Amino acid sequence: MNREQFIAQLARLLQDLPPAERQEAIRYYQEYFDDAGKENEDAVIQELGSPGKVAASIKANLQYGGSTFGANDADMENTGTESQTKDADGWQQNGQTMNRWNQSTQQGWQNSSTQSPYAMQARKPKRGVGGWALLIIILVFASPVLLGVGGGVLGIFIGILATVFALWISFFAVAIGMIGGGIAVLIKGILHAISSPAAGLVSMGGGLICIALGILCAVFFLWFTFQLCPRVLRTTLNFISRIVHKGKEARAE
Amino acid sequence: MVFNTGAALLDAIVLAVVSREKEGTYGYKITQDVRKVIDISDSTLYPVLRRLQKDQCLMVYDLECAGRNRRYYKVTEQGLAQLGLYKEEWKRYSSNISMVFEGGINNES
Repeated sequence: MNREQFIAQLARLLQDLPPAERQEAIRYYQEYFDDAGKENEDAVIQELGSPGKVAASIKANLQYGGSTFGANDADMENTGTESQTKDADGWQQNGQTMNRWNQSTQQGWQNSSTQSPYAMQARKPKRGVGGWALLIIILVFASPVLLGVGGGVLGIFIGILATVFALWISFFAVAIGMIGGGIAVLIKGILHAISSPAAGLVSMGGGLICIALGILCAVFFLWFTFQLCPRVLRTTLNFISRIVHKGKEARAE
Repeated sequence: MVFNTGAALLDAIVLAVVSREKEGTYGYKITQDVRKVIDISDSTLYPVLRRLQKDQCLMVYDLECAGRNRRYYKVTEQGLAQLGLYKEEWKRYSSNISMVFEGGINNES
Protein backbone atom coordinates (compact mmCIF):
# COMPACT_ATOMS: atom_id res chain seq x y z
CA MET A 1 0.00 0.00 0.00
CA ASN A 2 1.31 3.44 -0.74
CA ARG A 3 0.53 6.81 0.75
CA GLU A 4 -2.22 7.71 -1.71
CA GLN A 5 -3.99 4.43 -1.16
CA PHE A 6 -3.68 4.77 2.59
CA ILE A 7 -5.13 8.26 2.64
CA ALA A 8 -7.85 7.32 0.16
CA GLN A 9 -8.89 4.35 2.26
CA LEU A 10 -8.82 6.46 5.40
CA ALA A 11 -11.02 9.05 3.74
CA ARG A 12 -13.47 6.36 2.76
CA LEU A 13 -13.60 5.02 6.29
CA LEU A 14 -14.21 8.47 7.72
CA GLN A 15 -17.15 9.17 5.46
CA ASP A 16 -19.64 9.10 8.28
CA LEU A 17 -17.90 11.92 10.08
CA PRO A 18 -18.95 15.52 9.62
CA PRO A 19 -17.08 16.92 6.62
CA ALA A 20 -15.11 19.38 8.75
CA GLU A 21 -13.79 16.65 11.01
CA ARG A 22 -12.95 14.41 8.14
CA GLN A 23 -11.08 17.17 6.35
CA GLU A 24 -9.13 17.98 9.47
CA ALA A 25 -8.09 14.40 9.92
CA ILE A 26 -7.15 13.83 6.30
CA ARG A 27 -5.22 17.06 6.23
CA TYR A 28 -3.33 16.08 9.37
CA TYR A 29 -2.24 12.78 7.90
CA GLN A 30 -1.34 14.26 4.55
CA GLU A 31 0.90 16.74 6.27
CA TYR A 32 2.21 13.93 8.41
CA PHE A 33 3.33 11.99 5.36
CA ASP A 34 4.78 15.18 3.88
CA ASP A 35 6.83 15.88 6.98
CA ALA A 36 8.02 12.33 7.22
CA GLY A 37 9.35 12.54 3.73
CA LYS A 38 9.05 10.17 0.82
CA GLU A 39 11.86 8.01 2.11
CA ASN A 40 9.91 7.27 5.30
CA GLU A 41 6.61 6.60 3.59
CA ASP A 42 6.65 2.86 4.16
CA ALA A 43 7.83 3.22 7.73
CA VAL A 44 5.02 5.63 8.46
CA ILE A 45 2.43 3.30 6.97
CA GLN A 46 3.76 0.50 9.10
CA GLU A 47 3.73 2.63 12.22
CA LEU A 48 0.21 3.82 11.63
CA GLY A 49 -0.89 0.25 11.27
CA SER A 50 -3.78 0.35 8.89
CA PRO A 51 -6.30 2.89 7.67
CA GLY A 52 -8.88 0.98 9.66
CA LYS A 53 -6.93 1.34 12.85
CA VAL A 54 -6.42 5.05 12.35
CA ALA A 55 -10.07 5.59 11.46
CA ALA A 56 -11.21 3.66 14.50
CA SER A 57 -9.03 5.64 16.87
CA ILE A 58 -10.24 8.90 15.37
CA LYS A 59 -13.87 7.92 15.71
CA ALA A 60 -13.43 6.47 19.16
CA ASN A 61 -12.07 9.69 20.53
CA LEU A 62 -14.36 12.07 18.81
CA GLN A 63 -17.33 12.23 21.13
CA TYR A 64 -15.79 11.62 24.47
CA GLY A 65 -12.46 12.64 25.83
CA GLY A 66 -11.77 9.43 27.58
CA SER A 67 -10.01 6.45 26.25
CA THR A 68 -7.12 4.44 27.33
CA PHE A 69 -4.26 4.01 24.96
CA GLY A 70 -2.47 0.74 25.19
CA ALA A 71 1.17 1.14 24.42
CA ASN A 72 0.97 -2.13 22.61
CA ASP A 73 -1.78 -1.78 20.09
CA ALA A 74 -0.96 -5.08 18.49
CA ASP A 75 -4.45 -6.35 19.08
CA MET A 76 -5.73 -3.59 16.83
CA GLU A 77 -3.36 -4.44 14.05
CA ASN A 78 -5.48 -6.52 11.76
CA THR A 79 -8.96 -5.75 12.84
CA GLY A 80 -9.77 -2.97 10.42
CA THR A 81 -12.67 -0.93 11.67
CA GLU A 82 -13.35 -3.28 14.51
CA SER A 83 -11.97 -2.40 17.84
CA GLN A 84 -12.12 -4.18 21.11
CA THR A 85 -13.87 -1.87 23.42
CA LYS A 86 -15.35 -2.14 26.82
CA ASP A 87 -17.68 0.30 28.37
CA ALA A 88 -16.22 2.56 30.96
CA ASP A 89 -17.76 5.30 33.02
CA GLY A 90 -18.63 8.45 31.18
CA TRP A 91 -15.84 10.98 30.94
CA GLN A 92 -16.49 14.65 30.61
CA GLN A 93 -14.68 16.14 27.74
CA ASN A 94 -13.46 19.15 29.64
CA GLY A 95 -11.26 16.99 31.72
CA GLN A 96 -11.97 15.90 35.19
CA THR A 97 -8.34 15.18 35.66
CA MET A 98 -8.73 13.24 38.89
CA ASN A 99 -11.13 10.82 37.30
CA ARG A 100 -8.81 10.30 34.38
CA TRP A 101 -5.89 9.52 36.61
CA ASN A 102 -7.79 6.91 38.52
CA GLN A 103 -9.17 5.21 35.50
CA SER A 104 -6.21 5.50 33.21
CA THR A 105 -4.52 2.42 34.53
CA GLN A 106 -6.94 0.10 32.90
CA GLN A 107 -5.62 -1.94 30.07
CA GLY A 108 -6.47 -2.13 26.44
CA TRP A 109 -8.79 0.04 24.45
CA GLN A 110 -11.65 1.43 26.44
CA ASN A 111 -14.36 3.28 24.75
CA SER A 112 -16.67 5.20 27.01
CA SER A 113 -18.62 6.60 24.13
CA THR A 114 -21.80 4.63 24.43
CA GLN A 115 -23.35 7.79 23.08
CA SER A 116 -20.94 8.14 20.22
CA PRO A 117 -22.60 7.39 16.92
CA TYR A 118 -19.24 7.04 15.24
CA ALA A 119 -17.87 4.55 17.64
CA MET A 120 -20.92 2.34 17.37
CA GLN A 121 -19.66 0.55 14.33
CA ALA A 122 -16.34 0.04 16.00
CA ARG A 123 -17.81 -1.70 19.00
CA LYS A 124 -18.24 -5.39 19.41
CA PRO A 125 -21.49 -6.46 20.96
CA LYS A 126 -21.38 -7.29 24.63
CA ARG A 127 -20.24 -10.76 25.34
CA GLY A 128 -23.55 -12.10 26.61
CA VAL A 129 -25.70 -10.94 23.71
CA GLY A 130 -23.13 -11.90 21.10
CA GLY A 131 -22.66 -15.29 22.63
CA TRP A 132 -26.36 -16.03 22.62
CA ALA A 133 -26.85 -14.87 19.05
CA LEU A 134 -24.01 -17.08 17.90
CA LEU A 135 -25.45 -20.01 19.80
CA ILE A 136 -28.84 -19.57 18.16
CA ILE A 137 -27.31 -19.40 14.70
CA ILE A 138 -25.31 -22.55 15.35
CA LEU A 139 -28.41 -24.34 16.61
CA VAL A 140 -30.39 -23.38 13.52
CA PHE A 141 -27.75 -24.62 11.16
CA ALA A 142 -27.07 -27.77 13.07
CA SER A 143 -30.73 -28.54 13.67
CA PRO A 144 -31.06 -31.45 11.18
CA VAL A 145 -28.14 -33.28 12.75
CA LEU A 146 -29.15 -32.23 16.23
CA LEU A 147 -32.71 -33.41 15.75
CA GLY A 148 -31.59 -36.77 14.41
CA VAL A 149 -28.99 -37.40 17.07
CA GLY A 150 -31.11 -35.75 19.72
CA GLY A 151 -34.07 -37.89 18.79
CA GLY A 152 -31.96 -40.99 19.12
CA VAL A 153 -30.56 -39.94 22.47
CA LEU A 154 -34.00 -39.00 23.68
CA GLY A 155 -35.30 -42.40 22.56
CA ILE A 156 -32.61 -44.22 24.49
CA PHE A 157 -33.28 -42.10 27.52
CA ILE A 158 -37.00 -42.80 27.39
CA GLY A 159 -36.28 -46.49 26.89
CA ILE A 160 -34.18 -46.58 30.01
CA LEU A 161 -36.81 -44.72 31.96
CA ALA A 162 -39.49 -47.10 30.73
CA THR A 163 -37.44 -50.10 31.74
CA VAL A 164 -36.86 -48.71 35.19
CA PHE A 165 -40.53 -47.92 35.50
CA ALA A 166 -41.51 -51.42 34.39
CA LEU A 167 -39.17 -52.95 36.92
CA TRP A 168 -40.59 -50.75 39.61
CA ILE A 169 -44.14 -51.71 38.77
CA SER A 170 -43.23 -55.36 38.51
CA PHE A 171 -41.63 -55.34 41.93
CA PHE A 172 -44.88 -54.05 43.27
CA ALA A 173 -46.87 -56.67 41.38
CA VAL A 174 -44.52 -59.49 42.32
CA ALA A 175 -44.60 -58.43 45.93
CA ILE A 176 -48.35 -58.49 46.06
CA GLY A 177 -48.52 -61.69 44.06
CA MET A 178 -45.97 -63.48 46.18
CA ILE A 179 -47.51 -62.41 49.45
CA GLY A 180 -51.01 -63.18 48.29
CA GLY A 181 -50.04 -66.47 46.73
CA GLY A 182 -47.90 -67.35 49.66
CA ILE A 183 -50.75 -66.79 52.08
CA ALA A 184 -53.01 -68.86 49.88
CA VAL A 185 -50.56 -71.74 49.74
CA LEU A 186 -49.97 -71.43 53.45
CA ILE A 187 -53.63 -71.74 54.21
CA LYS A 188 -53.95 -74.58 51.76
CA GLY A 189 -51.02 -76.24 53.44
CA ILE A 190 -52.56 -75.87 56.89
CA LEU A 191 -55.75 -77.41 55.64
CA HIS A 192 -53.81 -80.16 53.94
CA ALA A 193 -51.79 -80.87 57.01
CA ILE A 194 -54.89 -82.20 58.65
CA SER A 195 -55.16 -84.96 56.06
CA SER A 196 -51.55 -85.48 55.10
CA PRO A 197 -49.03 -83.78 57.39
CA ALA A 198 -46.01 -84.18 55.09
CA ALA A 199 -47.67 -82.68 52.04
CA GLY A 200 -49.22 -80.09 54.23
CA LEU A 201 -45.89 -79.10 55.74
CA VAL A 202 -44.41 -78.85 52.26
CA SER A 203 -47.20 -76.57 51.23
CA MET A 204 -46.89 -74.50 54.37
CA GLY A 205 -43.16 -74.23 53.86
CA GLY A 206 -43.60 -73.24 50.25
CA GLY A 207 -46.22 -70.75 51.21
CA LEU A 208 -44.03 -69.17 53.87
CA ILE A 209 -41.15 -68.91 51.42
CA CYS A 210 -43.43 -67.17 48.97
CA ILE A 211 -44.58 -64.78 51.63
CA ALA A 212 -40.99 -64.07 52.58
CA LEU A 213 -40.01 -63.41 49.01
CA GLY A 214 -43.05 -61.23 48.60
CA ILE A 215 -42.14 -59.20 51.66
CA LEU A 216 -38.65 -58.86 50.33
CA CYS A 217 -39.99 -57.52 47.06
CA ALA A 218 -42.28 -55.20 48.94
CA VAL A 219 -39.43 -53.83 51.01
CA PHE A 220 -37.33 -53.35 47.90
CA PHE A 221 -40.23 -51.59 46.23
CA LEU A 222 -40.70 -49.27 49.16
CA TRP A 223 -37.00 -48.49 49.36
CA PHE A 224 -36.98 -47.79 45.66
CA THR A 225 -39.93 -45.42 45.89
CA PHE A 226 -39.06 -43.52 49.01
CA GLN A 227 -35.28 -43.57 49.10
CA LEU A 228 -33.72 -44.15 45.71
CA CYS A 229 -35.97 -41.97 43.59
CA PRO A 230 -35.87 -38.87 45.80
CA ARG A 231 -32.10 -39.07 46.03
CA VAL A 232 -31.70 -39.52 42.30
CA LEU A 233 -34.07 -36.64 41.64
CA ARG A 234 -32.25 -34.39 44.09
CA THR A 235 -28.84 -35.17 42.59
CA THR A 236 -30.12 -34.50 39.09
CA LEU A 237 -31.71 -31.21 40.11
CA ASN A 238 -28.53 -30.12 41.89
CA PHE A 239 -26.52 -30.96 38.83
CA ILE A 240 -28.82 -28.98 36.57
CA SER A 241 -28.95 -25.98 38.89
CA ARG A 242 -25.18 -25.96 39.17
CA ILE A 243 -24.87 -25.84 35.40
CA VAL A 244 -27.42 -23.04 35.22
CA HIS A 245 -25.63 -21.10 37.94
CA LYS A 246 -22.27 -21.48 36.27
CA GLY A 247 -23.80 -20.16 33.09
CA LYS A 248 -25.28 -17.23 34.98
CA GLU A 249 -21.94 -16.43 36.59
CA ALA A 250 -20.19 -16.49 33.24
CA ARG A 251 -22.77 -14.21 31.72
CA ALA A 252 -22.81 -11.84 34.64
CA GLU A 253 -19.15 -10.95 34.48
CA MET B 1 6.25 -1.51 27.37
CA VAL B 2 4.90 -2.77 30.62
CA PHE B 3 2.50 -0.09 31.78
CA ASN B 4 -0.28 1.22 29.62
CA THR B 5 -0.47 4.95 29.24
CA GLY B 6 -3.85 6.30 30.18
CA ALA B 7 -5.56 9.09 28.34
CA ALA B 8 -4.79 11.70 30.96
CA LEU B 9 -1.13 10.79 31.11
CA LEU B 10 -0.92 10.92 27.35
CA ASP B 11 -2.53 14.35 27.34
CA ALA B 12 -0.02 15.51 29.90
CA ILE B 13 2.92 14.20 27.91
CA VAL B 14 1.70 15.78 24.70
CA LEU B 15 1.11 19.11 26.44
CA ALA B 16 4.56 18.98 27.97
CA VAL B 17 6.20 18.18 24.64
CA VAL B 18 4.34 20.94 22.80
CA SER B 19 4.96 23.46 25.56
CA ARG B 20 8.71 23.01 25.14
CA GLU B 21 8.50 24.90 21.86
CA LYS B 22 7.59 28.48 22.50
CA GLU B 23 6.24 28.99 19.01
CA GLY B 24 4.58 25.62 18.82
CA THR B 25 5.38 22.58 16.77
CA TYR B 26 3.77 20.38 14.15
CA GLY B 27 2.17 16.96 14.18
CA TYR B 28 4.97 14.84 12.85
CA LYS B 29 7.53 16.36 15.15
CA ILE B 30 5.21 16.05 18.14
CA THR B 31 4.77 12.39 17.38
CA GLN B 32 8.50 11.83 17.13
CA ASP B 33 9.15 13.64 20.40
CA VAL B 34 6.41 11.81 22.26
CA ARG B 35 7.73 8.51 20.98
CA LYS B 36 11.07 9.31 22.53
CA VAL B 37 9.27 9.32 25.84
CA ILE B 38 6.83 6.46 25.50
CA ASP B 39 6.39 3.70 23.02
CA ILE B 40 3.10 4.50 21.42
CA SER B 41 1.45 3.89 18.11
CA ASP B 42 1.45 6.78 15.69
CA SER B 43 -2.25 6.41 15.11
CA THR B 44 -3.06 7.45 18.64
CA LEU B 45 -1.58 10.93 18.51
CA TYR B 46 -3.95 12.73 16.19
CA PRO B 47 -7.05 12.10 18.32
CA VAL B 48 -5.18 13.41 21.35
CA LEU B 49 -4.15 16.57 19.55
CA ARG B 50 -7.65 17.04 18.24
CA ARG B 51 -9.14 16.64 21.67
CA LEU B 52 -6.69 19.00 23.30
CA GLN B 53 -7.50 21.50 20.61
CA LYS B 54 -11.21 21.15 21.29
CA ASP B 55 -10.57 21.50 25.00
CA GLN B 56 -8.84 24.80 24.31
CA CYS B 57 -5.56 23.50 25.62
CA LEU B 58 -3.92 23.78 22.24
CA MET B 59 -4.34 26.29 19.47
CA VAL B 60 -3.47 25.81 15.83
CA TYR B 61 -2.06 28.06 13.18
CA ASP B 62 -0.79 27.47 9.71
CA LEU B 63 2.62 28.39 8.46
CA GLU B 64 3.75 28.41 4.91
CA CYS B 65 6.97 26.45 4.73
CA ALA B 66 8.87 25.45 1.61
CA GLY B 67 5.89 25.94 -0.61
CA ARG B 68 3.43 24.02 1.46
CA ASN B 69 1.24 24.74 4.42
CA ARG B 70 2.08 23.25 7.72
CA ARG B 71 -0.19 23.24 10.74
CA TYR B 72 1.40 24.14 14.03
CA TYR B 73 0.09 23.38 17.49
CA LYS B 74 0.79 25.69 20.39
CA VAL B 75 -0.11 25.50 24.05
CA THR B 76 -2.67 28.00 25.33
CA GLU B 77 -2.88 29.57 28.75
CA GLN B 78 -5.50 27.06 29.71
CA GLY B 79 -3.27 24.32 28.37
CA LEU B 80 -0.40 25.50 30.55
CA ALA B 81 -2.67 25.57 33.57
CA GLN B 82 -3.86 22.06 32.81
CA LEU B 83 -0.29 20.92 32.37
CA GLY B 84 0.52 22.38 35.78
CA LEU B 85 -2.31 20.37 37.29
CA TYR B 86 -1.08 17.24 35.59
CA LYS B 87 2.44 17.80 36.86
CA GLU B 88 1.24 18.23 40.43
CA GLU B 89 -0.86 15.15 40.21
CA TRP B 90 1.97 13.20 38.67
CA LYS B 91 4.31 14.14 41.51
CA ARG B 92 1.83 12.84 44.03
CA TYR B 93 0.94 9.74 42.04
CA SER B 94 4.47 8.70 41.17
CA SER B 95 5.79 9.32 44.65
CA ASN B 96 3.06 7.18 46.13
CA ILE B 97 3.95 4.36 43.82
CA SER B 98 7.65 4.77 44.44
CA MET B 99 6.98 4.67 48.16
CA VAL B 100 5.06 1.47 47.94
CA PHE B 101 7.71 -0.09 45.73
CA GLU B 102 10.42 0.87 48.16
CA GLY B 103 8.50 -0.58 51.04
CA GLY B 104 7.45 2.65 52.69
CA ILE B 105 4.08 3.14 54.27
CA ASN B 106 1.63 5.34 52.43
CA ASN B 107 0.57 8.05 54.87
CA GLU B 108 -2.60 8.78 53.03
CA SER B 109 -5.49 6.80 54.36
